Amino acid sequence: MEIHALKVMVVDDSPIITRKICMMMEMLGYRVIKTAENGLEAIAAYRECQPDLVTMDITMPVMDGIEATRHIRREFPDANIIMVTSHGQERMVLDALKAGAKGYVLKPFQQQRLVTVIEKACHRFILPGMLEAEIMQREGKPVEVDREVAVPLGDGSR
Amino acid sequence: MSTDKPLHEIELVMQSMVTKTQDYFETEHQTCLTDVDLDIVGVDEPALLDMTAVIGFGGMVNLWAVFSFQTSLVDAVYAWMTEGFQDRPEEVERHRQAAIGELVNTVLGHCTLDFGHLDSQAIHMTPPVILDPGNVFLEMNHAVFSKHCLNSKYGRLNICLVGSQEVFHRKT
Repeated sequence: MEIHALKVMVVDDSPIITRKICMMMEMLGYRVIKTAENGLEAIAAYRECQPDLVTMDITMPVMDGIEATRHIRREFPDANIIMVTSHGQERMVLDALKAGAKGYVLKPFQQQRLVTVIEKACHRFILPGMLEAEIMQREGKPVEVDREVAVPLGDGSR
Repeated sequence: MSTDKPLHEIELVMQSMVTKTQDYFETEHQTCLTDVDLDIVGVDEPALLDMTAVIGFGGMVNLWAVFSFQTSLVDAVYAWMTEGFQDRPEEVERHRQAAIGELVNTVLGHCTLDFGHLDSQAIHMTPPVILDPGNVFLEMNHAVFSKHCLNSKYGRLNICLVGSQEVFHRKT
């Protein structure tokens, strides 16, 4: 099983940030299967495609990323959401983490910062679940996968 | 919601916007912004240039930040922010506007570190809005402006702070 097979959804109201994140993901071999421009679109898109990982902006029109994260996590408790926002918005990042986000990247970000957070999220949260699902499918019975404690992932840029 | 704000708070927000804008251009794009002209109050028009982005600070801060750019500077920002993109002709204008909006959003995010103490809650910002150049965005009777003009080798940027007349009225 490879993390490069991950399906990613990018949520941001800025087409430039969306394009940048998509380019970074594609360069890494991840598959961006959906993009959304606000929180409301993100909820609908999540139901439709159920990605392995979501990058979520916080400040967006119609519905912000914190509210969208809360909705998605209520409906899909295993959703893996990483917040992407500006320096200075750390108090809102904290709200997002309380709403169920699993990490954050602060803008302006370099590719390596984003990669680090995503790969940590993959190893800590996503791969154990994928492995569990694969074993269950193969053996037809539930298995216990030992996951690390869910400490929020920061980008280490400060 | 504050409608009566001490001048030193307005100066703090304005100075933060100027400093963080200079820091951003210097750090991210190795570009120096100089020749700062300061008018704390009494400027009666927002001095809009060719492309203007507006972001509101909510809660107790209750002010609007207006960043207005000359076309040549917009061109430079667009080039920096879309490095590696292969924009189709129909995408260019949308991405020029998005580049300006993203720059202003990032700068103001940094600014909230400087005046977070003005509000006990997190300072919420609106998403950036790019003004239609044909529109007047405020009724002039209800607003006064604080303004800085920053120059770079790529062109000029005006930064204005806008609030209701009441917000600016009290002298301390």
